[in-house]
Amino acid sequence: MLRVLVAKDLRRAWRNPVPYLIHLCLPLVLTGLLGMVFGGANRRDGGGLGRIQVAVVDEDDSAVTRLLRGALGQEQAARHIDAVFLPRAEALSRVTNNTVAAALIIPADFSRQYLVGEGRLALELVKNPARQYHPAIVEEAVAVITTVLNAVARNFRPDLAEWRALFEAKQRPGFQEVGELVTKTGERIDRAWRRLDPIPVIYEREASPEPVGGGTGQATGTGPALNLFAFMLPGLTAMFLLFLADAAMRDLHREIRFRTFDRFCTLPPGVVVYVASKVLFAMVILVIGCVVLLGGGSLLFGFRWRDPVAVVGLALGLSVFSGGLMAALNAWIGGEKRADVINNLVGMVLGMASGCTFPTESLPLVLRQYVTPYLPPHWFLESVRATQFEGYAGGPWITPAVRMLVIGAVLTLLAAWRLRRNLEKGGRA
Amino acid sequence: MPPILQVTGLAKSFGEIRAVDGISFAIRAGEIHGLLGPNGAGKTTTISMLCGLLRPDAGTVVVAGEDFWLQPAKCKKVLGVVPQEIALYEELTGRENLEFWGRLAGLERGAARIRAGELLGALQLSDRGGDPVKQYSGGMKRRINLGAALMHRPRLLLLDEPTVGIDPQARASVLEFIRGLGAEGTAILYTTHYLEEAESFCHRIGIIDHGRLLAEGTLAELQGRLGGDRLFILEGAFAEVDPAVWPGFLEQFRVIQRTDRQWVVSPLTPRDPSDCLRELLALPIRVENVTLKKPSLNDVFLQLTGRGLRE
Repeated sequence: MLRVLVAKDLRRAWRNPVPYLIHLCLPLVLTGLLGMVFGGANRRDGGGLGRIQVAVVDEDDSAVTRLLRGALGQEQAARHIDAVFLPRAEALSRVTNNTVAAALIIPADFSRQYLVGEGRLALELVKNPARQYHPAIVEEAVAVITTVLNAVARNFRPDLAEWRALFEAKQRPGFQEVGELVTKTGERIDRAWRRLDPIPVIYEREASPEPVGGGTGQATGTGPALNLFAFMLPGLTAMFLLFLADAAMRDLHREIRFRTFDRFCTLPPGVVVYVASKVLFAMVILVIGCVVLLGGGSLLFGFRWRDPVAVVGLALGLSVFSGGLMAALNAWIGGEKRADVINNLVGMVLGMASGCTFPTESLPLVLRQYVTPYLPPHWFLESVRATQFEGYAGGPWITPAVRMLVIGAVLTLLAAWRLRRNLEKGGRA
Repeated sequence: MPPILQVTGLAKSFGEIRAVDGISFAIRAGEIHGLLGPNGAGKTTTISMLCGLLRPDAGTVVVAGEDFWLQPAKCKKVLGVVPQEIALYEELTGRENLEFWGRLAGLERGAARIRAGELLGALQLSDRGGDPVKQYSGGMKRRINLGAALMHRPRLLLLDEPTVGIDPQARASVLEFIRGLGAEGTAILYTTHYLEEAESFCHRIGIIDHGRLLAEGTLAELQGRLGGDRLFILEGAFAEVDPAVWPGFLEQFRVIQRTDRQWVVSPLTPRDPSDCLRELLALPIRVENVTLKKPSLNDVFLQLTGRGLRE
């Protein structure tokens, strides 16, 4: 009986697909737009973040900073950073004109003071506030550089003095002299390696052949540390699945309006069967939605799910929950017009409070602590992200998936009970 | 022959409004039972209680020997319900609608397909069966609406004003089809507010108003309540006239309807019309015109409620 009912609804949906297509296209469009806003469109140039334009003012102009110039021009760095070396005035002007994300100023005599180990040194970073995302990354990178420089200064102080002498020598150093110094420093590094390993893990991750965040294997290490599309898509999917469930369950009101629900009630199958069929129909639509959004999205935006089984399980759980929730809302909210407003509102608020549109960390503290952790869409997207991104907090995916299934089933039963009760009281279900 | 449908003391209230107030009647196989009343009389509420859409506050509904509310699923298999509104899926074709409702009523896929074909033929829609219902005319939708209730060959058919809003030709076609079902042995409850429909093919008619069944019987029995098969329509200036002052008048006649210009009068006992006419013309009032006519259901309704069915 369920099969007959669901087949009928699917046939109707097939012949009038516009409401469902809208809810399938919107999240993909939004993910694409948001991803492109943050530079995700050009995968070859950073795959999700784009190349960060930085002006470097080298007032030191020493051998060390010349080495830094060379390093920034190398392939791996150039993939992420578009560095231009300019005089201070020109660099600051470019920050003001919003043509670079930040200006890094290396002060005069920086190398000598560093190698001598005199006093407190400072690198100057001028961030461009008009670019909210990239300057923060540059700042983090500079923080890492200073940490490394500090570590080197502490551990290689005797060698640094010899290196300084080598750099400052008036005559060209001999190969033997350079070779001995390199060997000596190398031995010291070898000894320190055990203590330093693993040194900052984030560099290891960027260099790995399979990028964290689900970059495609084809990219062989050219992808970003974090694929923005893979990060955003679960959230938008969770929210739009709620809307999609609403579109599917709103058919209940159409059936009431067109009296087909009344006619159904004059036939042997009970109202529970009817509501279950609607939830099942919603689930089929949602599963199709998941395939289009999560599967199609990964193809469209060039990343792959690291644990597809977990994503499917979680998507199934979310589908049952969304279907049950919208069935209950539609059963409790009397009129179709009222349901139109309230259901959309509930979907939007639930999605936002769950962290579907904004990162959970950006939500108000009260919401983040007392509300968000108890919302099923939040379980979904946190669990998907946890399976997708290494180091992302989150437990095993099975528990939230089962929880969503159970809650969805309970909501479905409540919806059936409510509809039956309305009907017997003489309301139009 | 035991009745297929036995209704006893059926009642339903919505808050202060008593929509149905103690209705009782029975329908046997092959019988077309009309339920005649104006809009809001309680016809649809009655049908809703007979088919499980509403639970009655009081009374019993027995379908084919089973108490409906004790055995709803069993009773629903015997029932076919044609709602007042078109209850079809507009995106589906006529054939798909028939097959779908047939499957829900318990038919297997193959049986539903065959039966849908039969009904499309019987309803003269074979050539349009593959078109979506949204492309149908009002009359065609009505026919599919009727066919959807007949897929499982119900022994009892509940028809709630099935001809509302369709043209006379389509109405005649639907009525003819229903008459054929009755002839094949289907018990039919037919609600309508069209007098002509009730008069033309209902074997028995119940007159309902304000939730109460005021009278029930064959057309002849209902007409007999007016005292015979003739009514006299008197026209004149009757504004100041009180028939109670005329000696013996109210023992012989009943004034069914009275306005300042017209009285509808029926003899209380069967009598020769010419005798009646002579006595009426002898009354101490100036009668400008007298018309003789057979009583209609409207006159019965008029006599029972004091107002016409169309008012």
